[in-house]
Amino acid sequence: MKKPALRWLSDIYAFTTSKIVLLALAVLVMCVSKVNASELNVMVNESVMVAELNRSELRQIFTGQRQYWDNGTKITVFVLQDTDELHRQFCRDILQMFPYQLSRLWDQITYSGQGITPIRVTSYQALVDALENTEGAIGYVERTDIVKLRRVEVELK
Amino acid sequence: MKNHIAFALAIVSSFAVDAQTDFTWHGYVSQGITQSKDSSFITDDNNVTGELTEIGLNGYYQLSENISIAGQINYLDGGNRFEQGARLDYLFVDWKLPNLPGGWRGKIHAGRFKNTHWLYSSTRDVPQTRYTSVLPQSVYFDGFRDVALGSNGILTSFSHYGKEYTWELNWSYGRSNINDSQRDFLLGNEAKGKIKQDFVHQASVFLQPSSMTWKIGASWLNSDFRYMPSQDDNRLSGRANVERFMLSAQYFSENWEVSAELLREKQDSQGLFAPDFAEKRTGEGGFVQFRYLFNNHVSGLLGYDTYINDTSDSDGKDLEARTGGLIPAYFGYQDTYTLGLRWDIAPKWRIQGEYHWVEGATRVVSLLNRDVASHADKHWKMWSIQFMYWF
Repeated sequence: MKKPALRWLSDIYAFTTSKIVLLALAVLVMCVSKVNASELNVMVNESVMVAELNRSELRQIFTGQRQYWDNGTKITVFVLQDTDELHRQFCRDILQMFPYQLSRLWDQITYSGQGITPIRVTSYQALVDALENTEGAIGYVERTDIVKLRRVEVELK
Repeated sequence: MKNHIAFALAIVSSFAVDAQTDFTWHGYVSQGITQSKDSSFITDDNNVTGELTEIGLNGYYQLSENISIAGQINYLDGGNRFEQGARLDYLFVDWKLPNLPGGWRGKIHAGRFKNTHWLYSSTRDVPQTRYTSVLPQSVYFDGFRDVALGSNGILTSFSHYGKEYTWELNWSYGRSNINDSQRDFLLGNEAKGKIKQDFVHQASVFLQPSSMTWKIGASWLNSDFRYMPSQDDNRLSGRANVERFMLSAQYFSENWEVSAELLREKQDSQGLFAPDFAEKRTGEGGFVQFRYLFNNHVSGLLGYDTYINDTSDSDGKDLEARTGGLIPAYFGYQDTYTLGLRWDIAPKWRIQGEYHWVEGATRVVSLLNRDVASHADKHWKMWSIQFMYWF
C-alpha cells in the first residue's frame, strides 16, 4: 500500500502528465487544423460581387470551363506552384482533386487550344498582390491573413 | 532548321508571361536521345540518335466573351515514326455557347481542331503531357498519327458539372490530309499515288464522379479513305473504311494512378491490289499504365501494351502461312512492356526516361512492304531520355 505523500506526488505527476498530454494534443490539433480546409479562404478581388460558390462552380472556374463572372468581368485565376502546401490543400480540400490531376488538365487545355488556364505565381506574397491588384481575380489565402480581398463562402457539399 | 526554331523559342520564352490580356501564348521545347535495337521503328540502324525533338508555340486570342481563336505550330522529329518537319498543329475558332438548359455548357470548334476523344490524343505531341515519349502503339499508332491527331472540320463539346457526376460529350466531323509517309505505311512503299480521307466521324462520352477519383469513357470513330493511283503505280484505285470502338479509364490516388484504354478496330478494304481484292479484318488491343509518385518531383511508370492485327489469327501463324513465310508470324501481333522514370528538376523543367521491351512487330512497318521481315526481329527494344522545358 502506497504512503499518502507518495500518492500526493503521484497525483501531481498524473496531473502534470495529463497536462502535457493535453498540451501535446492541443498542439497536434493545431497542426492538423493547419492543413484543414477551415484554415484556407477562397478570396476574390474587391471588384467581384460574389459571396458564395459551391465546389462544382469552383471546379468550373479552376479548370477553365467558366471564364467570366455573371456581370461580364473576366475571371483571372491565380494559384501557387504544385509543390506548395497551401495549393495542395486547396486542391485536396476544396476542389477534391490532386495537384497532378489539375496540372494535367491545365496542360491539355493550354496545348490543345481549349482555353485559358490559371496563372501560377512563385510566392505567397505574389499571390496576395496579384489577387489584390487584378480585377476579376480569384485565388486562395491563409485564413489568418488580413488582406484587401473579398472572402467567398464555399459550399463543399 | 530545328536549331533556328529552338533559338527563336528560347528568345520568345524569355518574354513569356501569362498576360492578363485577351491574348495568351505558351510553348515547349524538348530534345532527347533514343535508340531502337533490332527494329527499324525509330531508325534504320541500331545507333543512338538525337531524332527526338518536339518544339511548339501556341496562342489563344479572346475576341469576345464567347469567341476566341486558338492556334499552334510545331516542329517534330521522331525518326522513322512520322514525317519530320514543321506543321500547323491546330487553328480554329472557339465559340463558347451561351448557358444551356440544365446547367450544361457547350462549345464549338471550327477549323483544324485537336482530337479530344481519347485520353492522350489532344496533346500527343506535347512532351510534358505524356508519361512516355513513345505512346502505347495499340491506340496511339505512330504510323497513322496524322489522321488521329485532329481534323479539318467541326468539333462540338458539351459538359455538365453536377453534384454527383461530371459528364462530357464530344462529337466531331472532318477530314485530314494524308502525307506520303502515311501512304507508304498503309499501302507499302511502292505506292506512288495519293490517299484522300473522305471523312472522319468521331464521338465520345466521359463520366467522372464528384470525388474525381476515377474517369471512364467510350469513343467511336468511323472513317473512309480513297486511293487514287499515279500513272506509274502498281497499286489500283480502291477504298478502305476504318471503324474503331474504344473504352478509356483512369483512376487517381494521391500517390499513384492507373490509365487504360481498350480498342477494337475494323478495317474493310476494296481494290488497291487487284480489281476484285476485298479484305475485312478486326484488330484488338489496349494498354494499361501504372504511375507511382515517389514524391513531388519523382515518379515511376510501369506499362503494358498489346495489339493483335487480326483477331482470327492472334499468333500470326495464318499470316505467315498465307504469305509463304514472307511475313513472319510475329508481324501479326505486338506486346510491349515499359518501365519509365520522370524527374521534375524545377518548375517547367523535366527529364524523362523510358525503356520498352517488345515482342512482335505489327506496328513497326506496313505488312505490304516486300522486305517486311528485315524491319524487325521478333524481340526488340527501344529506350529514350528526353529533356523538356515549357512555358
